[in-house]
Amino acid sequence: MTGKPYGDSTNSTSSAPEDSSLKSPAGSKYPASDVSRPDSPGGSTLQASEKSHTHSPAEEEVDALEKAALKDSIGKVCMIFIALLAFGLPLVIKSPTWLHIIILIYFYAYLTSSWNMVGGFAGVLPLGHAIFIGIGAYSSTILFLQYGVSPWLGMLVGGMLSVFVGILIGLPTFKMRGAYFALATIAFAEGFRVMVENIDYLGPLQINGPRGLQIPPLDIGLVNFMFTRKEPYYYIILIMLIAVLALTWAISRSKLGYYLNAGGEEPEAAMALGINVSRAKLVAMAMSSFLTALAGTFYAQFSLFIHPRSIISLDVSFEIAFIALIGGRGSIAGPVLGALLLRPVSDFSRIYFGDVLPGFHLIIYGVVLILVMIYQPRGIQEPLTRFYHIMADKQADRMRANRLESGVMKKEGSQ
Amino acid sequence: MIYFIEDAINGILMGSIYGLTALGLTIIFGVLKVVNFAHGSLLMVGMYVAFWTVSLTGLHPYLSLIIVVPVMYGFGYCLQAVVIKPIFKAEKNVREPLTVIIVTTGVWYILDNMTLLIFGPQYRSIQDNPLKGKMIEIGEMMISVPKLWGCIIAIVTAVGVYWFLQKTRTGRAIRATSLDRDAASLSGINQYRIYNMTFGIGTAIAGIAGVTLIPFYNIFPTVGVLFDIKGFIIVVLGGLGSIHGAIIGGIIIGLIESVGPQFMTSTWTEAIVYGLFLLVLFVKPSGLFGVKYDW
Repeated sequence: MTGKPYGDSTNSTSSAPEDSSLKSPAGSKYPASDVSRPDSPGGSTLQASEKSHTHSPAEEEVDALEKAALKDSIGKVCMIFIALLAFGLPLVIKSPTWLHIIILIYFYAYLTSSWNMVGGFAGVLPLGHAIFIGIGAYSSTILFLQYGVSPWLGMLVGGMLSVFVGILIGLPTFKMRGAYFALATIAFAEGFRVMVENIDYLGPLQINGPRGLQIPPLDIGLVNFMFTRKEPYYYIILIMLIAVLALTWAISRSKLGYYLNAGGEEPEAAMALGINVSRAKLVAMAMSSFLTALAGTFYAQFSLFIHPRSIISLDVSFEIAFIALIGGRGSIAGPVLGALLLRPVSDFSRIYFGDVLPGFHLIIYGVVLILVMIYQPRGIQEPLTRFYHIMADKQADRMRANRLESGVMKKEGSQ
Repeated sequence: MIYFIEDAINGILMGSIYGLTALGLTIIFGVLKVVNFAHGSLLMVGMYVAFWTVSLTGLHPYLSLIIVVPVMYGFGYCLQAVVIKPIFKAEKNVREPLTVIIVTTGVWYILDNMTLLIFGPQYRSIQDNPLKGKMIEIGEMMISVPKLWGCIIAIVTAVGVYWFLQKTRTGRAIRATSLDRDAASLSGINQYRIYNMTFGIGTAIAGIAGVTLIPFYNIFPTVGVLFDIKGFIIVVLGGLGSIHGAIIGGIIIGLIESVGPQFMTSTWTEAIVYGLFLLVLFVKPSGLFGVKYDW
């Protein structure tokens, strides 16, 4: 049910660029691979091409290796292209509304990637991740408002607190089976929300209960994590997203990734092999809650207003899970693809149909979710990854053919 | 003291209605082994069906049952047959398919927001309500009449469902499927038809709960969410799959909610309910009356 980290990771890291290029008006699939043509490694291919008229098994193997190397470089070029596109986007898009929408896409992609460490790799269904967003947002905001601590430091404090809470939640709940686990995480998040709503002062800390906390935008600057323009937020969340994707990629190829995957698919078999499944899950939970809390601080600084009903709400927890499930749970590209697909739907339907058709985007969410679950249970990343591989294969073949031709011509010329 | 008893009685009455809303959930879980996240929305649909039946035909609220129950049964039957069955077929060998939870969440979102789209966000309550604000006075205590009727309907429904499952042929087939779906299939029971019927019955019970709520409760598109989470708590408390567990779990929650505010702010009772829920999950996940891991 969950993805196999190893197999997926190789596929999906390289497919991440592909969809982003679909999104951007400037880049289609072809420019990306066209770029790769000039700088492809050419040294070794010449020797191989001389032999390639006859086909022995060993030569076929060489061929396959060569093709894999070509495909690899295509993937790398795609990724560099996408990264350049992402970093250059604010130079093209000046409208704050658009930037806001894109920032929220990255924000949800980040949240979902963090969720994915538990919900995807460990094969359970946590539906209460908003609790960590809340902890992150409240820790940094309270520290900043009352003690003047920079939100960057508050972010780490929130992350640490969140790890503590995450482990506290994980210890008893990971023993539960599917539905019970989902219900328990909901209860934790909702219980936390009710508590925040009811507490005005926790010792010396002012939580402000149901009224929420407002951050006055007085000292603007990097130290206080406050900016008047959207661009700094854009780059901060982009870097956070890239970092979390890299971390997910590293986990998926590490021992921990295999442990999680084994524990998610067949817990008994994994335990019989001597894997400490619950410890692996706890480590994943700790990382996931830490990263989610960082996003909470980001959100608090981005909107400068936090309110228990808006950030610790079930809706947020469910939206994260929806994006992961539609994108493809347990894969690296899935969360990004899911956020790219779903966030614009929600934003644009709110902008254009908000007053005529309230809740329209949630109907679309529901329909897409059901269709994906019935016809594409591993998420939309699967067909997109397959499509990417077909395209990359073709491109690699074409490049090889070109090179062989030129190699043959060179050879003839020298003779 | 007299207020305390009055609150307790009203809590028991309201709690049994909570139990009724959770009854459908527990039956669906017992047979399909799936937590139906859309159950609150089904309750909401039941409330709207009852509301429009009463408003358009002018029937007494409780007489609308003759229309609500078959409509809701059909609705649930079709929902299961069209939307959820494909998942079951795809994940045949998984005992508790998580994917189904996700699909029912999708159904929840669709139903709630469709209703919002069609009927708008306003709160509605039935006009010319013969039961509105009616009270029985016992000594100095005031007991709400529609809640009393709700309690009676809840108990009759629970007993009826129990009788149906124990005594009828279809009921036996449903119990057999809940115990072991493969063995049931081997003895000639059409597993998917039983699923459809069970889902229909669960939805019909949600409809009955909707009917008992409309005389004293507002109707709005997200009303289901309030009962959804409460429903989960009740069924886990009573034991997933247990019929009397659902009713008794409901009464416990109702009592906490009505008596609690005498000792603390009413919003804190909500936190206590969640706390109790987690406690039951950790200490005895099978609930007060659930058989371990099974019906």
